[in-house]
Amino acid sequence: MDEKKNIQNKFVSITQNIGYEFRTTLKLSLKYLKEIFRSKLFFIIAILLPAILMIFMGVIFGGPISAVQSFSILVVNEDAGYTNDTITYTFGESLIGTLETITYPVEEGEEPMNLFYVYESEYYNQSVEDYLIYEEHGLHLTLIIPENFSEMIFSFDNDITVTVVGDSTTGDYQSAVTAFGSIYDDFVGAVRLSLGDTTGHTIIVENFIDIVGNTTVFDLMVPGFVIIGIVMNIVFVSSILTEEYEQKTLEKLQLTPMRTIHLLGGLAISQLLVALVQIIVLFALSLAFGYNAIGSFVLAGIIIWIMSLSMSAIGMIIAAFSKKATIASSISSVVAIPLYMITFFPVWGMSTIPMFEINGNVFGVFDILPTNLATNMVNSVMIYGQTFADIQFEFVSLIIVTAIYLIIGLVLISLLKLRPKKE
Amino acid sequence: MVTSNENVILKSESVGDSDSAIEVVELIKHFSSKKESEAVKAVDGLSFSIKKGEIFGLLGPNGAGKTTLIRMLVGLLKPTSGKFLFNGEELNINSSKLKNVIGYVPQEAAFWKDLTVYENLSTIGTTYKIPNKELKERIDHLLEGLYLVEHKKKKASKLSGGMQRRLNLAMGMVHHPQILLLDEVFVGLDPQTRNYLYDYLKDFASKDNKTIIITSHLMEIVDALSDRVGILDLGKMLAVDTPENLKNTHGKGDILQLEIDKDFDDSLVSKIDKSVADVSIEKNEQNLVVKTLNAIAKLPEILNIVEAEGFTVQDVKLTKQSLETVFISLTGKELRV
Ligand SMILES: Nc1ncnc2c1ncn2[C@@H]1O[C@H](COP(=O)(O)OP(=O)(O)O)[C@@H](O)[C@H]1O
Ligand SMILES: [Mg+2]
Repeated sequence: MDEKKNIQNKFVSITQNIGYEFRTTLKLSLKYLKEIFRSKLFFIIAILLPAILMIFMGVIFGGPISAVQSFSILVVNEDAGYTNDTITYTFGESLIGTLETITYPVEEGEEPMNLFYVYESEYYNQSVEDYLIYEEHGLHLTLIIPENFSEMIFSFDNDITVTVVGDSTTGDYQSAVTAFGSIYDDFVGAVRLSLGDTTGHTIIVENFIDIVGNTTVFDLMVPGFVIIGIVMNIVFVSSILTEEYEQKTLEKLQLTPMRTIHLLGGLAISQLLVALVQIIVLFALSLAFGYNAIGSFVLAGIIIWIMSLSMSAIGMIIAAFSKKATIASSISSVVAIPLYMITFFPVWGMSTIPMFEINGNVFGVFDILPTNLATNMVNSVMIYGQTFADIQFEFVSLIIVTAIYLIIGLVLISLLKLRPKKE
Repeated sequence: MVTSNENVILKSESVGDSDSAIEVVELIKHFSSKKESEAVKAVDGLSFSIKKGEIFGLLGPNGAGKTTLIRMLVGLLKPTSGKFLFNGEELNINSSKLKNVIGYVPQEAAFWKDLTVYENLSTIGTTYKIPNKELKERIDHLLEGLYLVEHKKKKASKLSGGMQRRLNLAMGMVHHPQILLLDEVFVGLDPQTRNYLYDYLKDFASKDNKTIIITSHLMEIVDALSDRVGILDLGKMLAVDTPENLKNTHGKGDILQLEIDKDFDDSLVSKIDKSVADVSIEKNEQNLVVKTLNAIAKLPEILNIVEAEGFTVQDVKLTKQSLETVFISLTGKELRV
């Protein structure tokens, strides 16, 4: 009987304790929310600034894309070369050289225009394809020169095959393939002739990738605009925490039974609420300015929401090393620049450098920046209509990366800001 | 009474005394500096103990090391060496047991500027395991006691300096700490609030054996409020005793300081010593320092001798018998610099 009562009491006291822990965390998050919403700077930096940017870009880049006169081509040259009589031939490179030199006259007296603008990539995989997708309006074609390209040219009587990738639904692609095809024919014919052979055909294998809807540059930038607002939360988190240190309120909290996790948990919860407001306001604005989204706003919102936690964590890390709020916010602004710049790279075209691969899923070097992961995912969902199943790998990566940042923030704040000081 | 006093002294020499709220053992804090000469021995080997239920005044001039000592005791500052015990136990600074027992009011008011008075108090209060209803009652009681009720919905940044200091005080007391450490809390208060705070602390200490440690350079308050006083200077404890005992042993009588126009030698000192009854007299640079009971009555006589010897008195300073005179006789300098 007594034992039962003991267990009961124990249970009551445990639940009571959990209740108190939650109360502390919630109270602190409420405190931070009050402090944030009472500051005008918050509305200016977190909502107004990205909103104005979005409206501005919506007006400029929201329209359809004009027709092009030159073709942009991405070449993946896998040609290993071929050695014949101690001379190594690399015809892949020669083909690229040819593409680069073909020009056509524009008007009399003016410089002739290049027919092809050539970009090169070392390898071809999903991420290069993504790159191609994103670059749909800037890039018309991807050409993959196979490893045995030079060898094929030497094996007389055989056909010579290259692969092109592109969106068959666009007229630009068709023209680009035609233009490339005739140059390719001429090139192979000339090379074989110089080797004393006139047999064989050139073959172009076409791989089509689906590009849904009429994506505008603005569409590709929308995740960037939403994320800019969220990235700015680094400034809030770091300066709020550092101010707490500067004003000695952190010392007050340090002397209470509160633990670091309560403090940072409260701060993170307040930031999640702030981010929710930002996400809703900014996506609503993007819709008003003609965002052609075909995917789930809820999924995109959740992705950015999780990413916002990693921004809080980065703010905490900066705060751990800062002694003055002004310094913390300057550092934060500097750190924020690459974080939101990267969200526009899909528009500008930056290839992914792989770090490791799991089951064919590539984790790129830039994926340690949560904004990069989030942007790629949001674009996949919103523009190409991918579902959760398609982005699982990146989604889990984002959660893991965010958790790592949070743990680092927690440890650093606890070690550097909530321990007895030496001075 | 006498025997029990001796007991305490004997006991306090053995570490782990359960009668003492805080026991400080060989505590040292050196602030290092790049230049060897600028290194500061802020707390220089302190050993003393504070009894449960007493108000302990820590008296010393600016820079004596009071704040440094207090900040080490509450766990904000890491000691260079030495230790201290709470209720006879050496508790980890992070233990919640300690945090529930200790209250600290820093010298400089710290609070959340954008929160109201009430929100400041409830934020701090919530971190302790106090039921909501009780917490609210405690806050209301504190607000009433510290004349902050009408301002409870005001943003803390909008308060006057005195009110901010009272809020600062309330924030350290909301969890009803068993041991309360107050650093210069009387500074910057108007006389009315000072008196009020004085009564409030007396009352607070009288309930359930609470211990208060209060640092100040204001000797009248320390004198009146404290059960015992420790006199601290340059990181060293010069004396610890009741204010009465301190005055009786170290500060007998008033102190007269006479500034003489030119250098004088011991013959002047001995002349006064012989002529005037019951004085002890010293030379301190340009000053004649005279210790005596009822100094005012003896002043004309002393002035006459000085002038007869061909000197002129440029300034006279009289300090009535007080902790101030104790301090002067212990250190040879004044408390208020
Ligand atoms: N963080 C610090 N770094 C270097 N010196 C310090 C620091 N804090 C205090 N001191 C020095 O230690 C001595 C004691 O200071 P403090 O404890 O503030 O004295 P009090 O509170 O009695 O006025 C002073 O000489 C002061 O300059
Ligand atoms: Mg001080």
